[in-house]
Amino acid sequence: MRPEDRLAEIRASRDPKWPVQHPALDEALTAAIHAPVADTGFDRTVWQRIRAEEDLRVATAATPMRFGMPLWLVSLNVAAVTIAAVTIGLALGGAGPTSVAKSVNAAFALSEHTLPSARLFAVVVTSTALWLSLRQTPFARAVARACL
Amino acid sequence: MDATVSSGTGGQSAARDADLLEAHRRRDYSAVLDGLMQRYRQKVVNLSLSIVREPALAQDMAQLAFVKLWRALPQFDGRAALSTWLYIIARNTCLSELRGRGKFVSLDAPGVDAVIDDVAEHESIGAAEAEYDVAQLLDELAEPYRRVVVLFYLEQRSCDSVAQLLGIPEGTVKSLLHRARKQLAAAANALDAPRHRGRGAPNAT
Repeated sequence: MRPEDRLAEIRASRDPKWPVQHPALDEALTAAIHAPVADTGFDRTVWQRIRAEEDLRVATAATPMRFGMPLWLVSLNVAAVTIAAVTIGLALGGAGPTSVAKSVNAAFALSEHTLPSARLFAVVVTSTALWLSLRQTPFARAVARACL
Repeated sequence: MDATVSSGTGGQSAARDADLLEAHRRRDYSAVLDGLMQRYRQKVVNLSLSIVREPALAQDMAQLAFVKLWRALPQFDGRAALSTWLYIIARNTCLSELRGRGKFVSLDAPGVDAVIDDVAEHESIGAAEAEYDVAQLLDELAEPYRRVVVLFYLEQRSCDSVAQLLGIPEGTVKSLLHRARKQLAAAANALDAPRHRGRGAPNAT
């Protein structure tokens, strides 16, 4: 649009003649166009939405989830991986048949001197760890569902 | 959409909101939000209505704009007036909503004159008892013209206020308003003509 046309439009928009030329139309527009009234209830609703959002954020942050799993399961997995790594490390460290035989002999010798209560404790801890780990497997879940 | 407003109006808003800026400096964000809601909630609802055209949705969008503002308040750097910032958030909230519904038409879109959207009848824009079917007349207008006309009447015929809310220069508002009025008058005449012909028919025979 040319600048002079734009100027003419701006002048025309200031022109108070429009409501005079089209009084019925102007009246109809004035009467028909209205917005919902925003009062203090509006403010209350906004604060409610803000609080609800913050509550949700706090609740999400407080959930002990990591990698999509409960914290206890993550800890158990870390312990299992550590034990597996140590076992593999020990196995690789004494790979030869002589050293394996030595290790086995040493283990038997140690077990003979171990107190029965310590042995029982080790069995209980191992069984519990195994049970906790196995019950998270899909197979265990399927069995549990079938049993229940 | 251009987010700039004339420095005069921005300066006035900044002066009016000096207490809110002071509260923002103290990090009293609750006071800032309360103050903004008290002063601008109706304007934000008006602006939302001019864009989304459904009263309930306009209220919802206006509330959402304030919630978004609350989230962003710590990042406000004071380069624009608080009200300008609020209007930008409100406009973007409404336009995102329309974009999500596939009803978005930018003020800057080329060939916008030809656009007539399919938004259905709505409660507050349009009065059955009026001599003119305002809803139908407004439906005849392209989106930017309709927004300007709706806001012009909601904002007590203040072009300055419309310019602030839409974030466009006042001259553009006047220009859009002028064209919109011409189109409205033409549409009203076109709608009126059959009625007058109908009234005149018995006398003619």
